[in-house]
Amino acid sequence: MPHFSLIFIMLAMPLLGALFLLFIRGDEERTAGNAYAVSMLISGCVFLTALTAWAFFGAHKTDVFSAVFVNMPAFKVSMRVGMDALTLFFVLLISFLTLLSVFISRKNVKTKVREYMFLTLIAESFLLTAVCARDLFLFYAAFEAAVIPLFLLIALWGVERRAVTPYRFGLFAIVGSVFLLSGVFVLYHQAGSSDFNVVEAAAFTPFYRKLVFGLFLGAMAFKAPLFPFHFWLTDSLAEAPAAAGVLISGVYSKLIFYAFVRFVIPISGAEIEPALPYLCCWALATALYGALIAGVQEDIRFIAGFAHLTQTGLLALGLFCLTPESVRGMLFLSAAQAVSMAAFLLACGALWQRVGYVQNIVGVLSVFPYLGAVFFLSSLALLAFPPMPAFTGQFLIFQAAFAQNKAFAALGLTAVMLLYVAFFKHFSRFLFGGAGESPASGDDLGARERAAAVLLGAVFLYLALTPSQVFRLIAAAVDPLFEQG
Amino acid sequence: MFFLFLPVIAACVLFFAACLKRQIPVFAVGFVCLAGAFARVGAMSLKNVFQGKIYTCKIMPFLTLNAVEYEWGFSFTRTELVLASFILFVALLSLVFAKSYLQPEKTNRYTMFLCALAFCVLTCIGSDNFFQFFAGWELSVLFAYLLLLLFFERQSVRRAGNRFFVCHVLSDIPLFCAFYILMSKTGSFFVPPFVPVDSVSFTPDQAMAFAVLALVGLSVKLMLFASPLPLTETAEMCVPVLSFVATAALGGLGIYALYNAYAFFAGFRAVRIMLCAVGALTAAAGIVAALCRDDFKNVLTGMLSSQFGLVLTVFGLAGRDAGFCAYIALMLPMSGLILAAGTVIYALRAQENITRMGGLGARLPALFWITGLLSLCCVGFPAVGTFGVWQDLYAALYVKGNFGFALSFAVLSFGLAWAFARMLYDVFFAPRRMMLSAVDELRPVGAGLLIPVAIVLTAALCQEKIFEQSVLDDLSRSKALAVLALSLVGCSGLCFGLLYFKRRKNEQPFGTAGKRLVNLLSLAPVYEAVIVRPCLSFARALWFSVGTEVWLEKFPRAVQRLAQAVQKRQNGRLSSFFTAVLAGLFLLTAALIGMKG
Repeated sequence: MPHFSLIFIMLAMPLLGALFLLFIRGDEERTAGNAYAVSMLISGCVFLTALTAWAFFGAHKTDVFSAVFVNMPAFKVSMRVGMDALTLFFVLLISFLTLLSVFISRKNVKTKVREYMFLTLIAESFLLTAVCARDLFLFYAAFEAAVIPLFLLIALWGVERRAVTPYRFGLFAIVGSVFLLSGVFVLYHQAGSSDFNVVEAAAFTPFYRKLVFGLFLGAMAFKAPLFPFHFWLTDSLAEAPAAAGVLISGVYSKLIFYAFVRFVIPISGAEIEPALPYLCCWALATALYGALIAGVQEDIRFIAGFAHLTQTGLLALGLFCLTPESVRGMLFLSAAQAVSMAAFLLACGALWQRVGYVQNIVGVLSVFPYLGAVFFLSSLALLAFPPMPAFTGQFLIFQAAFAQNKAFAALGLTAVMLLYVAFFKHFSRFLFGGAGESPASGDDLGARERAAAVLLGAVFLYLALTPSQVFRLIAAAVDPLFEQG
Repeated sequence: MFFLFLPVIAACVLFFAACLKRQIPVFAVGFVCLAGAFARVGAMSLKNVFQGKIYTCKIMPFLTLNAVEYEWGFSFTRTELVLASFILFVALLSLVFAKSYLQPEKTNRYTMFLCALAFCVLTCIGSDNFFQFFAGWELSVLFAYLLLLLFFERQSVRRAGNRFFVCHVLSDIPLFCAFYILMSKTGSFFVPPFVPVDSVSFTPDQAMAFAVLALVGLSVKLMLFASPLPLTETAEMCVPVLSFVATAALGGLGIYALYNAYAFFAGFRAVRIMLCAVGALTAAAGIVAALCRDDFKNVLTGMLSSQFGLVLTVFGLAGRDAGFCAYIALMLPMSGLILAAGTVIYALRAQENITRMGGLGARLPALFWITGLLSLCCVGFPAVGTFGVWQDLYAALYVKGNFGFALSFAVLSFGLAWAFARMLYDVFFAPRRMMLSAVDELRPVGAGLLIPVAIVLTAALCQEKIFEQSVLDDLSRSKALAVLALSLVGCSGLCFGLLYFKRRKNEQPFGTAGKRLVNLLSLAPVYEAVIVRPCLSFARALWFSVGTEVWLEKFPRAVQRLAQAVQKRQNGRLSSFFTAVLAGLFLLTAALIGMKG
């Protein structure tokens, strides 16, 4: 069992850190400072561990790191965790986004900092466990458990309508989880085991293959989400504090795609091929709906929410095109979109903190030059404006879509361009000035926020200019899927 | 190749200087960097012309897909070098002009965006793969949009900026589709000319589809007929921006893309006829727009559109090399003419209506001669700059097309020259129409405004030397005479036009009917009615009806009611709750055991 300690340490660290936070005592300011320092240390260590794992990884296509997570022979329960290329990709994403969330929360969160950090670390722990799990029930339990800290983060530190939004988020998550649990049960029932290796090797009848796919598709509709089950997403992104928004958009909503690549598609195989064109249509409907609705929104946060929906539609398009290029593009787009959304939420959070409102605000660039520039660039990244990293992912998805059906590519492109229209309709007014309320003078981005912006900028540059290494990792994750046929 | 990065270095320096609120010599930074880049590219062009040297520089690897490696870098052959030299030349002169034309507080932003735009255009034309091509392509539009928003205080500018950007990005949809067609044929992400033309075999239908998609995609950049972007939106740019963006930057990109796409449908006669038809329509519509508008910049954009139409016609009839030569020949004096128009506007303290000008020939003699000569260059007057180029164009049309085509071209050129005559007459020859005080208080025109225009004029006058190598072999005597006659017919529109307008004097030559025709030709109301409004209405209807109410209000309320009903049934007692939970867990366990068995 090589590198046993590495994966275990990585999963245990956030939990231990969260527990440690509970023992911090002192006045509120001191507690906040210590809680922040501990959380930074823990999330930084987790990210470093993930980077170390990447350095060790090479071009392996099977689990490089694995360990037994739970072993209770008396109850015949044995759950494994492991890390292959696909897992590593998501582990890097989760650990980076959590580090970023913690980093930017120092200024954004003023009250109950210790509790906030506790929930963030707990959420990270659950999300990491979900992607490292090699057992269906462990995956399900960790995935669903992550809803609780995210729910609480919105409910306790939300912006305006924090009484309603988390309720909707929880409700939709539960409905999605019903489908997910049903799918997990069917797999377990047919394979006789919840271990991924056994499940993947098991022989399923065509009926059960279709059933599994259908149930996970239901889960995706609510959790990714797809039109018309998306309403919680725009609300949550607009209302959640920056850190929760980053985790929801960047990781939580992407995990269902992970599930598809990990076991749903290998199990369902050729049975789903006749349904794929229809599913592509559904994905495109989601993308077009998001882009169209973004065009009639006035609040920039809601426009960003619908932009996220459009991108989710394109991710689904990449998945349902089901070619090596499209799935690679989908995974790369999901990472690029997560980082872009993080940057956007950082800018929105900073703006909210300074002016208290985001709607109908004008002339940001003249009052806050750095913040305006970060806002502009993060918006471009969110839109996948070339050469931003998401563009490469979209480009590959559209190329695969074009090969399947020319109309798919044309409609997908239309959705992207409509999204540009939705954003740029407000940009001139929002950034430069015009009719509306101009913010009074105030402090521009502080040193910590600038550091976060620089960090994100470096990641953007890396992903935009030399995505080869990330693509190598993605290829190692995706190729086995197609080599198996 | 370091020199190619100078513009982007300048843009970054200016950006950080603005953020840090540091005073730096903005103009000097911009000028040195653009001049350095221009000098280097100019030297490369000369080496290419005389030694046939091709420049390739790989900067860093980008992506490896299907064992093919794509890289960031620059690859310049002759076409790219000539275009890059032209673009940097116009950018440099535009910058020099802007120093005197713009208010100091606008200079930093202008210089920054101009340098960034110049670099993006170079990135685009120097690319060998689609990723870099589209990065340069879209960023060029973005910086052009930001340049347009230089005077964002005006609502009309903001509106024009939005429409400008929207039209450009929407027109990218067909362009992307055209390139995806190409990619599906070649199997790689390399762009032409790095894709062998022989490897792509189109059927006539496919070639037509490809050409139509490419042309629609380029329609906004080349201001073609039926393009969704009305000329008035382009005319909202301030003069230095208009002279660079419309003629060299975006126009150059459009021509470059057409030049490379042309190789794939050159063998299809139907496609070439389609190009000619669209070109002729564009030229005609541009002439009508120039004749019916009173705003100086609108008149110029009309002429510009008309010239792009002529270039497209040349592409269709005489091939891409002749088309490319025509583009350079026409756009060089045109960019100078726009700057000259800016000088007039500057002198008249932002008066842009040409019907309120007049009598400036005597007041601004230097400007009058420069503008006059540039106009002569634009229309291809004998013994002035571009006459030889125009003759070559006519010859190419005559030989590769036929006499009828060349005659049609001459008629269009005549119309264009007529539009120039109207402009010259209204601005310089017409009796004074301004209030006396305004005339007496003409703002002094400094050397900073006149020098760049004079440099463009000199370059335009030397064009004949640049394009000395004719696109065709020597013609027979009778054909040569016919070509000469056609050339003279084309440019004679200027003389006849001046005579005509002198006779009409103060009367308005084109009434409301003409203006309505222009609006009709721009098709803006049609796009508004057919696409924009239905699209927005549909989106609003979707937002207010489909699902929102059901999912955000009714569904959560129904769940809440269900929960209340359950609670009511249990009477809210804790023991009942625990009983229910235990029963649920028991059932779950039983199900698991059952499955295991």
